[in-house]
Amino acid sequence: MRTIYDDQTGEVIARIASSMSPPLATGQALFDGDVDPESRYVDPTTKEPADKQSFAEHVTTTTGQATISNLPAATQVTCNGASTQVDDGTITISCDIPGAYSVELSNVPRYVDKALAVTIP
Amino acid sequence: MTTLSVDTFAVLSEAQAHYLARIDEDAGALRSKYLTVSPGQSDVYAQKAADAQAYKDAGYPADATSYPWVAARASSLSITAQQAADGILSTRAQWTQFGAPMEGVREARKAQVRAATTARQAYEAWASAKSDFDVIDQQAQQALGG
Repeated sequence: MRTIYDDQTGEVIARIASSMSPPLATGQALFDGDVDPESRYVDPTTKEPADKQSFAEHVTTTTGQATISNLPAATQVTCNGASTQVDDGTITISCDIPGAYSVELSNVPRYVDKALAVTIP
Repeated sequence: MTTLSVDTFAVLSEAQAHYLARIDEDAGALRSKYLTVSPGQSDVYAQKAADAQAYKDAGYPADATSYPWVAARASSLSITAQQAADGILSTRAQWTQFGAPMEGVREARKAQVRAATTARQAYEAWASAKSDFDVIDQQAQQALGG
């Protein structure tokens, strides 16, 4: 088993069972082994597989808003169909109606995707 | 700090329309727990009650043929016309005890939704209506043994 990955980010693009050398597009590299994209990526510096990290976010809520902090740079935050990238570690999500909201955190390829259930008062 | 707005409603009128409808739905659901809700049934209830009241006001005459709803109930249940009329009026009184405050809540909370200046205020008016309906429901269950 071999793995095609993005040579800039390390994100796994494809896993191939064939022993033949696959054609690689510009920006792609080949790792001679299997890398499960659910939990690992290929470190572009060492060119070796590395474990994805887990988010260690902190969530606080006040009336009409939730603040999520301790996010790594370039985290994509999605909620209620809206999405934005967080580069400064903290995001405040505001809503017009209180309730339970699903917030998705994504930071490809170094972090495992996470879905949070946040109740905003 | 990054911000993300996830408003449910684009404009206030959209929120108001939503919560006005929710209040009517909740009121309807509660009503249906205590009334038979089917086409024309509310007219039947109203006519039965009016007929029974008229029969009572007339002093429960021996000949009930002028009071078709009372006579029909008496015949179908094999009871006297007076028993039939009193039964209809008792049922109406029980319903009025809870139906009237229920309607009061519905109208008052809908007025609050219409007066809301934010979606959150409209939501809170609906949430208050829901809470009020729950209290009425509990009282009705206790009173009616349901």
